[in-house]
Amino acid sequence: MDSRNFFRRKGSASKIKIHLNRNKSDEIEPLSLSLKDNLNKLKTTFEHCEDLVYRKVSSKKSNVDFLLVYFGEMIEKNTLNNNILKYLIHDIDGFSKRKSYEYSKFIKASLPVSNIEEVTDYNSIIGPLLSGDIILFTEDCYCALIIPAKTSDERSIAPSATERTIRGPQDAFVENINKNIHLIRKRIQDPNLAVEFFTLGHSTNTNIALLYIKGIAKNDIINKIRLKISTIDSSSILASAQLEQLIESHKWSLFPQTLATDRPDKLSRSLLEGRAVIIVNGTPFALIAPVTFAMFFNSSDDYFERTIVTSTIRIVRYICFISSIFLPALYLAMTSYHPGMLPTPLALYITGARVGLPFPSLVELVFMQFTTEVLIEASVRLPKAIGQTVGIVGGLVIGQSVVQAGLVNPLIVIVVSLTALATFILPVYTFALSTRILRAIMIIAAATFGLYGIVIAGLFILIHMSSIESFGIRYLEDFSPYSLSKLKDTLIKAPHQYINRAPEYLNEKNNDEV
Amino acid sequence: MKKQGFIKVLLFLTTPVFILILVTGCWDYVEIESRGYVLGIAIDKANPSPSKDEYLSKRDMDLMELMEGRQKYAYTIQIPIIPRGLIKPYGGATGGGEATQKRTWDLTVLGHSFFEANREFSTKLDYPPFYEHLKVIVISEEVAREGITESLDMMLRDHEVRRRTRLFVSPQSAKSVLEVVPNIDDYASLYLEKLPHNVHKTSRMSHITDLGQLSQNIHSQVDFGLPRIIATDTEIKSAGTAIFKEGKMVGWLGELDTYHGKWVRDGVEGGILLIESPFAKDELVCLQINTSKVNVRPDIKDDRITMNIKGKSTMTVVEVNNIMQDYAFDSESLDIFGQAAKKKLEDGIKETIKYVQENYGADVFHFNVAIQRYAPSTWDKIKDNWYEIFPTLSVDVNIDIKVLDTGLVK
Repeated sequence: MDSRNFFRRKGSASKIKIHLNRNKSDEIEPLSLSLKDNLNKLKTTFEHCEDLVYRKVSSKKSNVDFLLVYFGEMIEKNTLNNNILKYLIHDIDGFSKRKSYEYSKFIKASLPVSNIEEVTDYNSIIGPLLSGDIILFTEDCYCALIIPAKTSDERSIAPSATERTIRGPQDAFVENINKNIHLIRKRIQDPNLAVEFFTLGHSTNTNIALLYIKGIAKNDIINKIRLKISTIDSSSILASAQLEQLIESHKWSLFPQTLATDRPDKLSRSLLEGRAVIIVNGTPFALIAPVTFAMFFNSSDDYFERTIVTSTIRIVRYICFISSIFLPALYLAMTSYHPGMLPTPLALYITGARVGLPFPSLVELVFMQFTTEVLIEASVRLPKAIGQTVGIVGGLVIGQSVVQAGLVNPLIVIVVSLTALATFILPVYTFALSTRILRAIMIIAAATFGLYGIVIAGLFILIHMSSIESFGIRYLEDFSPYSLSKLKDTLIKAPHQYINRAPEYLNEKNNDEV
Repeated sequence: MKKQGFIKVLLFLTTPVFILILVTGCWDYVEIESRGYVLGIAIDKANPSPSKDEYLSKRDMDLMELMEGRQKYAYTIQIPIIPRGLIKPYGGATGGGEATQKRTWDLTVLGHSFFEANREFSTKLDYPPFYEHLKVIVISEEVAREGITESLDMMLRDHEVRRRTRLFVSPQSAKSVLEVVPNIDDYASLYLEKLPHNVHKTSRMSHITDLGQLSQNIHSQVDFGLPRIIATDTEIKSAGTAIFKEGKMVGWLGELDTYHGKWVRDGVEGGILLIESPFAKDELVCLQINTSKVNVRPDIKDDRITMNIKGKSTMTVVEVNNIMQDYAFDSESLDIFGQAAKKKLEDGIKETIKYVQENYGADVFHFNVAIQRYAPSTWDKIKDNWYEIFPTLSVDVNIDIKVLDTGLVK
């Protein structure tokens, strides 16, 4: 499917927007009758585009001249050669019977290509031309034809690399927006699944789709999102991450207020819960909005495995989140401020491990934490072949030799690596990144004020979390105000029968079955 | 403009953090290895002080010039020696030569006030003494007989010392108990601290005897007992009780008397009851205590006060001397065992109460608490001359023992 088909079907509102964005004026500029004039005009507009091809051909049977304009690498060569050129040059006949202004209508009707559009306005050919369509001018005709012939050289649908599941579906989003919408439509075959198109970015003209299910999603929320998107004034939107930053209301918060995922099953579930999905052309990661804190602990696999197992794993994730933030800070506070709170054998053991070490615990902790951050960053970016080497260098060489050299207490190595592991268990990478910063804040608090500092900093984070909201939905909505039914799909995962209702705060009608 | 504002906010937020870290240093931040963990304290009577005060503290490490008072007590603190590299996983010190190595550092200072002595430790110890891990306080009999409140007052006031610190009384020198080199444990203090955990196995030791309990007893002005310990070079034994009357030790209770005393105080957590077989002479039957519950109520008729000691207990047969006898397997004999056990236990309890009444006059059974609670009007009349009434109290002991099964004999 073609993206333009969608907005053509929906009417002209969004279509005009492209051209408005680009030309900054809504004057209609008629096309010239002469091929030469049109050619010159195009050459001025696309003065620096050397990859734009101007191809003049004439019909052998009728002796009519045509001008084809297209970007050479963006079109499907087969369509051009077999369906357009061959037809125009050799097969088409009957021009003599018609008036020249009827030519374009005649070609449109006889060319073996679907979805040809006829335009008379110069400004309306520029957008399609840039997006990879072929423009056909005919001598003595005031109409131009837009012939869709985009190449489909996108990668094919493959399993998600960032969120793998064991029993779940193995398809994931690709860069093409239409394929992505198709993946969703395939799952939700419902006329109420609404798809709204926007085009953003003065230079990039990026297609953005807003998906929601009418009747389930709350109108307030959808209006808020629509307003946010339509008021964006940016020259470029290259990825969904940019859009995410442009539409979220707490820019300086550590907590993500939309959830990015490339799993169509996860997105479909969110849609059915009454959330909206924003897909950006060129990015395989779609955004879910609004989100709550608890959603960052859900993995797709949770819905494909048995209840008790899943619930236990969920609780483990919460524990890991808490310990990934608090563990190093607690270690520091306990050993340096409140050793009386440790059991005596443990206090003596840690003392024994620390006797004779040259650096204070804080320095050790910061040093090891820093090393881990470096290792993680290094292994994320490196090619797979070298990635393993990083693990060996980091884990064995640094971890072991630092202890052997008597620089770092082995317990610190355990604490730091446990913390790193606890971070890896979080299913959403963006969210896992936030914990790194939170952890640093906690270490500073613990180093300055001990447990007291941890409590104060923890309270600040809690206050911040409860104060932010994502498109009108509070971040901690799942836990406060407290209701047992909200915990069915947050802290644990109840059997499917019990959670087949969407969260109340998201719904237009509370009793809507999903 | 906008950017400058942001920088201002950033500075505003980060400056206090940096000032706090860099300028003030970290409040109360002490590395875990730079504290001296006091695991145990021993309080002994000080040797007669040297006649010439001016020599004090010049030659003898244990002596110091006192601000006030006299060399009354010898305070010893026990600090674990954690040698460099002892617990390092790789390399460092290995097991060799550890047997001869000293495991603890026992520092003694003679003085009157414990706090003054505590500060004097800092003249010898490069780690500040840290009392949050204090496990045991051992008091020598000599000190206990003169009264323990004087030397323990600081422990009750100080915020570092935990209420769960256990107290022990030893007829020998308290320091010698701390100097025990345990066979398995590293430090005598930890060894001693764990001994009362065996209370489920035997009832011959007192077990709820920590600082919190002591404080409660002293302030509610009741008499109490503390466990008796004796020690050799490598072993410590906790059995028997030191009896305290009005904060001063008045005498010892033997192991069996302690056992009976615990029944009266409802402190039995486990242990055994050994009886002679009712079916044959010179054959023993051993019962294990499963559960026990004892209540003490005053029974006042006219002016006579009788203490009713009523209880229930379930037991199991664990050992019978002669298994060739039929009674050893017969479930009907269980009731007969129970009757015998009841008689034996009741006699023992009565004997112990009588012994304490006659010899010490110390109300370690907390009869006064029972009277105060269940007969307050009577208590108001007798509380002023309680110590005259206590030895004359009569007791009525009634403990039902149900023997549940004969155990499994294959």
